Parts: sequence; C-alpha cells; structure tokens
Amino acid sequence: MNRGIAFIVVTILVTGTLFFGTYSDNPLSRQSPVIAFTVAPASRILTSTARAKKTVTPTATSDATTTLYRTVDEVELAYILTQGNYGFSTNGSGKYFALRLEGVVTFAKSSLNTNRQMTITSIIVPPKILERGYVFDDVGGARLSVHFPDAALADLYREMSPITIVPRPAVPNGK
Amino acid sequence: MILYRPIGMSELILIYKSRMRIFPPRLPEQPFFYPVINFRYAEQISKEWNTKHNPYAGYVTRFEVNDDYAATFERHIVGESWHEELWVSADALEQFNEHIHSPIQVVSAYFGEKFRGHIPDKGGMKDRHAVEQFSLLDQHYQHSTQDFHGEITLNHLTIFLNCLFWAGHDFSQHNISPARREQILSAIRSVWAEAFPEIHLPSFMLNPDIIRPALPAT
Repeated sequence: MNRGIAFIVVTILVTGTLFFGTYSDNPLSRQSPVIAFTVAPASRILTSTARAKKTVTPTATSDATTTLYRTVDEVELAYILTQGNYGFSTNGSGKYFALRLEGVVTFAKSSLNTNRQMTITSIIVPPKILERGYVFDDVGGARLSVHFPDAALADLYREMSPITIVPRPAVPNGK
Repeated sequence: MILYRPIGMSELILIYKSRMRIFPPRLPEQPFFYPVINFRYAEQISKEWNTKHNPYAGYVTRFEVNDDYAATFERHIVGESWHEELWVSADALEQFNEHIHSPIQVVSAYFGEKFRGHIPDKGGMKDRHAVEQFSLLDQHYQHSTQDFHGEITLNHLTIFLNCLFWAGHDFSQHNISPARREQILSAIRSVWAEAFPEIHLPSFMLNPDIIRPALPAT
C-alpha cells in the first residue's frame, strides 16, 4: 500500500481527525453533534457520530454512504436548528435534495436565489434510502437530484446523519 | 406559409416529445392531416371541440412551411369562407414534417370547466390537479427554491401543458392574487428558459395571424 495513503488511513482510525473544521459563525456549528467541515477538492469529512466513522468526500458516494445536499432559507434553517431535520412541507409535497455539492453550490448562486439568504446543508445517508425517492437531473439547477415524497421523509430523517452546514458565506446572491 | 393546427393534449404530448419538431403519425383511421390556414378557424375548433372532450383542453399550434411546398397540397374550404385547410395525406406527413421550420409553437389554449390538467406521477405534484399544482409551486417559491426548481424540471411536461391554464385561471380562492400569479409564472419562465432553452414555454400570442418574416430554411 502506498505509504502516504496508509498514513492517512491510520490517522483517521487512530485520531479520528482529518481536515476537521468548524464554522463558528453559524449557529448550527454550536450544536452537538452537528459538525461543520471545510470543503476542498482533496478534503475529507469526518463526523463525530459512530454511524459515520469513515471518510467520505462531500460529493462522492462510497459503498456505505451517500451525501445529500439541500439549500435552505432562513425559515427552514431555523426549523433545522430546533428540530434537527428538514420537516414536512405544509402541502405534503416532499423535499428535493442534490447529490453533488458542485450542483447545489451553482444553484445557490443562480438568479433564482438573488436576494435570498441561502444556506447549504448536507446529510449522510445509506445509499439504499435513494430507492425511496426519485432520482433525476435537475437541469439548470442542482443537477443530479432526488425527490423524496412525504411518505419517505420520516425514514430519511431516521436514517440520516445530523445535518451539517456547508461553510459557504451565507450572503445574498449576486453581490 | 404560416399554418395552424388545433390539437388536444395527447397530440401535444407527442409533439413535445419530438422537441416541438414534428406532428405524430396519423392513426390508421385518419387518412389525412389537416393544418388550417388561419388562427380564427384553429381557435374555433379548439374552443368548440377540444374543450368539450376529455381532458377538456384545446391547444392551437402555429408553424411555418415554405410557400412552394405548401402549394403542393390541396386547399379546401369546408364551411364558412374562413374554414380553410390543407389536406395532407397521412402518407405524406413524414415528408411534411421535414419541411416544418421548427419549433412548432403553442400560441393559444382553451380549457373546459372540467379541465383538471395534466397530472404527473412523480414529484410533489404527483396526483394533484392543475389548481393544486400551481398552489404548490407558489408555496415552493416562497419557501424553497430548490423544491421549486426541482418540481419544474422533474415535471416539465406538466408545466408545459398546464402553464397556459395557470396564466388564465383565477387563484384568488387560494390566496394568490393576479399579481402574485404573474410573479410565479415569471419565475417559472425564468427557470424554464435556463433549463430548456431549445423549447419555448407556451405563451399567448396577442395576434397569432401576424406573419413573421420567413425563417431561413433549415
């Protein structure tokens, strides 16, 4: 095995830390066990939960986990802070999530979100949960995405990791 | 030559799936394809026929073919002087399609009282009728642009087929004012234009009989 890779793996297993970051300006980062992380091409995430004691990249799907992304406004963010999940829409229409960080970042910057205070969040889920949703290409938006109907959201919330804030400056777009 | 064809929802779905390029083949019991010469006649058929039959929606399409080619088909007046149409044999439709300067446009639509809209089988709009769909889009637009955008692109066919109904419907019972309705429609159009720039979302043409400069042959 490449000695560099071996060192990284050992570091993860032994110390449980690698590219570990916090986002102190965001209230979510003050809530345990929500852990924020830095996002860089080579970075890895390590959450503090037992379920997620393995490394995943923000956008890649490993054998055991998949990361989903959702942009939320201030109201939904406030709900997340108090309830720990995304809730259910009043119209019972389910929720949309992106499967790629770059897609949701591009979407958050799009003209549709001009003058909106958007925050990007992520969750780690077992890939099998995607079978409860409908995967499609959100063309011109967050691209590869999944829609979960309300009937699947309860299972999603039970299976998902704590919600994580992707540390992106939450300023109005187009500025 | 500018031509019109009044169609129902099922034919529009097939045209849409061709990316607004061709009219679908005729059924065995339909020996001719009948494009009409003026908007007035197409509008009359849409209003008086399509809106009275399930799914209670009539659309007027507008398209263009070269004058020389159009002249190869018989013109028939089948009622009033303005009930004028071309008779294109079903066998010739495939070739006729090749002479259409795409895209085929939807320039007007009419809906009967029983119209419930195109109802998708996925996404948040699944199993909801057209009025409920627009109310849902309004709420998405207020609360989650990701849900709003995803709903439009996931259910783009439904958006395409129902948008002219939404443009003319009174949503005041759903606490959506006309101004609010326009705001949502404008946002839908913006999303659409970026997601599907090659297909124009239907819009009412104030005067579809105004002939544009001829398009270059493709």
